[in-house]
Amino acid sequence: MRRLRVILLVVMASICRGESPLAHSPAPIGELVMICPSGRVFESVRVPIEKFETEHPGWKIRVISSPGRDYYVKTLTLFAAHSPVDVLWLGLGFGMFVERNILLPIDSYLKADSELNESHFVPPALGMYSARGRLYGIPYGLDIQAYAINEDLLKAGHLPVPDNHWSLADLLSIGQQASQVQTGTTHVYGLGMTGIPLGCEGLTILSADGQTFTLSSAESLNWLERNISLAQQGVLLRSAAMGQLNRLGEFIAGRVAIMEVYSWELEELRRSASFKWKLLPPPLNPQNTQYAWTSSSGFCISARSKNQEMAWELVKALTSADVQRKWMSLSVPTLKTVNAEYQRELSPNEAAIREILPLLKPDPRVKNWEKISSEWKYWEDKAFQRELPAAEAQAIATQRIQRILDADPRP
Amino acid sequence: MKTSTSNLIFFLAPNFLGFLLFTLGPVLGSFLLSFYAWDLFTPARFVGGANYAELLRVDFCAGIFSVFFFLLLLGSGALLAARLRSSRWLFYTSALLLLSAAALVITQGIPWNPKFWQSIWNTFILLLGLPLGMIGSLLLASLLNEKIFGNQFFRLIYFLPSIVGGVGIYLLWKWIFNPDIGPINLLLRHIFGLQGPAWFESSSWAKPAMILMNFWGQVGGTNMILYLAALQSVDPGLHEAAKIDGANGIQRFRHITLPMVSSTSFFILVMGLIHGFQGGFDSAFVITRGGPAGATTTVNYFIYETAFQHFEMGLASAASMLLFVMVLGLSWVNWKCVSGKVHYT
Repeated sequence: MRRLRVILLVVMASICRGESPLAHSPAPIGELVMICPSGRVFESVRVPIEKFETEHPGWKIRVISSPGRDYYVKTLTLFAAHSPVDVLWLGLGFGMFVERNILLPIDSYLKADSELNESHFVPPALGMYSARGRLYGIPYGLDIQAYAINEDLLKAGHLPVPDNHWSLADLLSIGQQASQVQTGTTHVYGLGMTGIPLGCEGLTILSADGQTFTLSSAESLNWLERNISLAQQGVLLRSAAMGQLNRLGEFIAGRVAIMEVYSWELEELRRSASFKWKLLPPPLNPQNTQYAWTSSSGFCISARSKNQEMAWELVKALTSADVQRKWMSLSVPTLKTVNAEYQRELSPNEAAIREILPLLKPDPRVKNWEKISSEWKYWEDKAFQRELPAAEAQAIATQRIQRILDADPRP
Repeated sequence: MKTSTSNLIFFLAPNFLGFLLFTLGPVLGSFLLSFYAWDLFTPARFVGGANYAELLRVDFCAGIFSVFFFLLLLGSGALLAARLRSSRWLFYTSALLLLSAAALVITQGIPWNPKFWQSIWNTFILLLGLPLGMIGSLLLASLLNEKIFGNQFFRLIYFLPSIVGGVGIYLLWKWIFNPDIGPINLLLRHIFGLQGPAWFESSSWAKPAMILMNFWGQVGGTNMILYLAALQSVDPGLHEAAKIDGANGIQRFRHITLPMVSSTSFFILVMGLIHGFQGGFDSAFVITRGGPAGATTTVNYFIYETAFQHFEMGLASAASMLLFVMVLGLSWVNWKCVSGKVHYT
């Protein structure tokens, strides 16, 4: 019996002797751990990482990838568990990380660097990773919002094709008229968007300082009621469950006249649209101003990294000019030299991007952005689904979102 | 080999230690955490029963409605008590009524979380698919129990939903219910000239669509196999005797088959209720992300969203504890009400 016990103990010990994927013994000189979304980002980092490892003998980069949909959740959970991450990819979720004080300010590294400085970047780029006057990341691409117009569809309906100086009134008028065009039994949506974008009306969800919920005004209520009415008329392709794929798919299938489009969708649009289309900047809002939503893709360093200097070198390698050139079909390069090449190569139907670049405005950086946006979407959906009057949904959302903001004031 | 206490402990220890470490420990940890506010990054802060109060607080109108609902429950409880000749039901429902009324008054100043109540409601509605699925499974198993050509092939076909990966199936259903290009709405449009509903995009139709989808998964699969096994254990002599006595097919099904498979039905019901309460996460995650307007957010999805999207671990733990109480309570009621009517062969 004793022998059996010993054998069992040995078997169990050998089974239990597993290693956590984050707890490898260090390589001869050092190892950097990087986390990024799986798919294209993961594929794109392979070459620069191989190059980095060749240029820095003895250093190994271990890449952890996670599906893009839940990337931020997994990454935040890794940080909460004190996993040794050195470099991380960040995009839209930058605010969730920087407000939790888990990123390393890198101003000093950029200032001390002999190859790279602030003047190498196009103006809005570094601002995408800045907070409280400090820089926390280097972007390799800007994601921008534009409007795609199906010119063939508008011409078939004898509707004017707007130019870069169009207004909100033009957007609404063309959208409504285009929706009446029917091809066989297929419905044509005038506007391929879940609602008139806030920027078109000069509205934002939060104030610039991120302290106040600003969609509680009478103008915001008008905007909400107008969206509900447009959705009921079949003008808006409001696809709550299907999301952006449906919007893009319907536009490519020729069933949407004007679509809100993002830079990462342009590659698919170029490849699949078999009709004449062009991009436009956001329409002039009632305040006679324009702004376009923007976000970015880039790399940041963990505040807990034990190899911060080497992590900085890796960030530079991952956001280099070569990398930016590879991303040109999906995002706007941030280095001035590559950005100039990008702008030169823009086709005539995408020329509006040049006009959009000065209009970029990111979402405010708030720790609970995910919670705030999902709360707003919930009550907005309640109004859209006619479960609540728009004014009541707006009032409840205002109360609840302001409570979230007040419970966690920004420093 | 002689059995000794030390041997017993030795062989039980791995499993018991595993249970302590990986099941009981986290459950107790979650219970403790439910009294704290914790976002994973800053130290946990003791908040007493605030998480429970936030989850259980109802707005005033819904509160009045729930008091009426409990009054109705009280009446039903009284009737049931009279039937069961026991006053315990009356006592429990009265206590529930008093508790709900007290909670309504006490919690008016506390933040209100309507999404939790909505998730409970959604979970109950989605559970309506369970009896439909059970009826379907039994009918299907009865058909496949007949000696017909190709019944082995059909058994395999109907078992397929159980072994095919969930995400693929959900993506397929997402396409099937697509309001514009999905086959269901195309069929309705081209054959009947009807404009089909928006299914997963409408808060009124999302739950029926989910029930239909779950029905497809529940009819075949494990439940059908369990019923098939139960049907094959029914003594054919009983059917033959009933036939000689002049009973027709429906009468034989009602008076012989149904009672003889009642233990299987009870098992499926209990397990279905438990899984039903704990389920709905994967379909909501893949197809709707809990929307539109929270129409497909089940309790399980609510817990996930609260914990891993909003990083409110204390609130999510409190919701988990309430889910545990609900599952336990319902299983107990189920056991008390149904187990006496089950026929064990």
